[in-house]
Amino acid sequence: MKLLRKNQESKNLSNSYLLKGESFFVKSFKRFRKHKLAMFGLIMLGIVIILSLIIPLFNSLSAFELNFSEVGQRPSWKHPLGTDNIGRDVFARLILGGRVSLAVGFVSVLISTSIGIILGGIAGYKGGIVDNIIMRLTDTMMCFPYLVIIIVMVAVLGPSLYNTILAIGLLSWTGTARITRGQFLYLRELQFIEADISLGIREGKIIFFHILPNAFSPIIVSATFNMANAILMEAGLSYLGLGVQVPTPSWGNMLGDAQSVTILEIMPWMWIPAGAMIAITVLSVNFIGDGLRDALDPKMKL
Amino acid sequence: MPVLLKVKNLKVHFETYEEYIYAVNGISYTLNSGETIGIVGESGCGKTVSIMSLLRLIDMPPGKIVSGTAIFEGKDLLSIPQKELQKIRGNKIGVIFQDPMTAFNQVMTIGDQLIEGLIEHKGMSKKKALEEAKRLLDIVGIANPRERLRDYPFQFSGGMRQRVMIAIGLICQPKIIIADEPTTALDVTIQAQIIDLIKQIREEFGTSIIWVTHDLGVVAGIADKVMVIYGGYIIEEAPVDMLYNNPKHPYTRGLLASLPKIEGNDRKRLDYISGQPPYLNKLPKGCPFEPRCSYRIEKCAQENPMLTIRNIEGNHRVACWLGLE
Amino acid sequence: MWKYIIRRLLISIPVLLGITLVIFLLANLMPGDVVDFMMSSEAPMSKDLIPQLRESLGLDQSIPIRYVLWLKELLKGNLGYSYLTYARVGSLIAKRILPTLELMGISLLISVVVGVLLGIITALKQYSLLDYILTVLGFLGRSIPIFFIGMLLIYFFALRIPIFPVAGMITAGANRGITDNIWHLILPLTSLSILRIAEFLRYSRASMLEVLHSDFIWMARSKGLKEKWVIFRHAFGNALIPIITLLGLNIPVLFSGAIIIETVFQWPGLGTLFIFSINQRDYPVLMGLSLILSIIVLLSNLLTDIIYSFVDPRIKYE
Repeated sequence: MKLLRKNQESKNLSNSYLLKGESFFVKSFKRFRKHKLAMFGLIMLGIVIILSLIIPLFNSLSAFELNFSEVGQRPSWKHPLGTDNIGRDVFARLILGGRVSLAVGFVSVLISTSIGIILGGIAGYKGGIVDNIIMRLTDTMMCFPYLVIIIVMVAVLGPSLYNTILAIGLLSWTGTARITRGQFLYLRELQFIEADISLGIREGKIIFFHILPNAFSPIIVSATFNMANAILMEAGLSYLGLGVQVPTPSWGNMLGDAQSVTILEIMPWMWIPAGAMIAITVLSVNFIGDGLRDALDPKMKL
Repeated sequence: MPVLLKVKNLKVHFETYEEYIYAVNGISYTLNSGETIGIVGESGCGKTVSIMSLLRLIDMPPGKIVSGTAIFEGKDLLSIPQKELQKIRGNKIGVIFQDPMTAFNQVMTIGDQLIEGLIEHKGMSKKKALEEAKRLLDIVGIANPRERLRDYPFQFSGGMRQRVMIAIGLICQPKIIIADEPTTALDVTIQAQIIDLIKQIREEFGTSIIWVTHDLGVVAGIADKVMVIYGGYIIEEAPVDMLYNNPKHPYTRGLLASLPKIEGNDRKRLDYISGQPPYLNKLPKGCPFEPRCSYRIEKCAQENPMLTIRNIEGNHRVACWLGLE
Repeated sequence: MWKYIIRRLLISIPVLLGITLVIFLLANLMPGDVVDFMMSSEAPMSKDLIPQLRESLGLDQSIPIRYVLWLKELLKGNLGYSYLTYARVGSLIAKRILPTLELMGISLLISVVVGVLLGIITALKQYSLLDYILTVLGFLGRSIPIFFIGMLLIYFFALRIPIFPVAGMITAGANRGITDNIWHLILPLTSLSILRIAEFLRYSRASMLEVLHSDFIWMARSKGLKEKWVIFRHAFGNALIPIITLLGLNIPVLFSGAIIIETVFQWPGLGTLFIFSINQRDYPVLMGLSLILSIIVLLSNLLTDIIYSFVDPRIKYE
């Protein structure tokens, strides 16, 4: 997959396209490394991912095991974060909940970005009526309260982990679609595309190998921010009881379980860590997104 | 002719966290009263920065005026306090910007944008100022000036907008006008009209002009004296006829040779100067033009001739190691 | 300009119709219906009663017919009756709309004023300490889930240090008037607004920065105008115009936030009604609520566009 050198017409493309000895990726990576917050975010996220993957393999305490004799205990050696109101180990739930929240984040973003690229790409490339219809659809969708639509969809499908991923994935493509469309609209007018067409290269090839690679910077940045939102959205849904269902732990429903005044006050270890984890994870992803944006194209208006 | 503006050793650099750019590297010249100087150079050679920094109209940071003086009416424009500078901007020295699309505030009427300067500098009442604005619109050739005062920039065509821009530059009757490529964004027929307009105004008001452009044709039509800039240095300076008839610097020769000429030149290919203009992120050891020069000698790569511009004859100055005839 | 407004109004009508269709389909496609809900929560009923119950609620008819019937009633202004309580949907909504409007409205006001002000200040003082601090806080604001903020506020300011009431809109029983209301309002309002302030700050800062570096600002300076004038007269106007669109866009987002905050604080508004009706499969309430919500969104978009067309001369003189 070759990134095309910029010619003099396309001066508006990022200056980083000027292949002066270093490739685009190397240059971007160097810039990313300079961004302190982004590196911090990357490290934090890495830690969270690794912990959530590894610890459950070693943990003897199950996240599902009920222990009525140990209800509501404060943090101790046996239970690093105490137990919740029906005797489950909070730490184990927290780590497993991490898997859940991260999974929702990744997979739903994969889905929504794919849909967004396809719809936005078609709209931007074809133009005309197709563009119009797709854009009307996108605009109408963007109008409505995001949470409301998702709640309704999850309710229709039936609340569960998979349906949560599906719902968020199927309904979060509007931002990506808009950006992709904008990029395609701009790029297809550039002269090197005209040159390709006049050389007789097939349309599919043009789209995939020439337009798309040059468009991916803002798409990647947008996808990163979308992941942050997806994690927050899942947390919200689970909190309301409409997302991941108990007993499967998710940071969101751990907070939802703590909804009574007594638990809130007396057992803070049950919910504060979960909320903190959401904040840390989402913050890290946001930092990474910011760093990516500055690294790939400092002039991007996202 | 009395000296109006004396620029000495102007150096302007830009420092971002990614790189350091030597944009303007020691420019010196004199503007006499009533004179028109044409500053010529390729894109990126530093010509715009050099004139905008006279009024400190550049982003500082990342730009900074490293050294130099620009003496106008006994004061150094580059170091006087902001309050004093503001009294000179628009009032004694006017500016015409390059792009009439982006240089206007899109949500303010033309009228309001015209009278701002008058109200600030001359203390006129709004009513009087509007009258004056109308008069100026008339001078620059806008039909129905009274109604047009209430219009917004997007309601004007490109050429009209540039005329309004000229009106704004002139409205306080400045002694000097700094014009940054005022005709570049327009098509050729309009260009000619605008140039004629400026000539007319120059006649009537006696304004001195510093005109920046990359178009040699334009310069020939309007300047008394021409300065050629390359890599942030002045490389040749001469009265306009002298420059066109007898260019000394290889770069100037190259520029003039690359102009398409009407007089039959047996269908040869257009001459051009090979290579790219320099990207000055470090000061060159030798002459910045040396890599592209067809007359280069060994000394050219060792020492930078552009550091000292020498007088050849009369008012003709060149910065080159070769004593070209 | 009036042509533009009328055009927008006319387009809204088929959109609204489409919305009613979508709402109806979604609501009625949910697995299980209100009878199932009634069955599970009350004493077991005899099997024969179920079809009778269904018939009395009209649930035995086909979907298209039910849609048309609902539409007919809508046009008469009748939003239907709750399956559960048989109360008029209209009055249910009416009782709860004010608390929600109070919460959302004041939140919007505060968020805009504080957010835009701070955004402009940080843009003018780019790279300063204040700018840096607010940027980081902005990041935090976007990363912490609002319900967590709400819970933390309750924990620290209502439970550990009992300053504010824990939940609800007014102290039960007593009717102590406005100060009581305000007291109850503070915690939910703060939770709801923090994120909004961060958003407005970010947008107005970006907008202001972009304007400050544009050509026409240099031109204004080249005229020798005082810097204060340049900023207030030229920069502000241009920077604030895009903020107006943001206002309209925020209404739906605010409602999403309201749903969650109302649940955290047990605020008796439309948000909690929404969650109830979803969980209980009380379609008429759900549909009525969604419809009202859609109308509000459409109206606010329309209003934003209209205000925008007044403010931006490029549209005014189209």
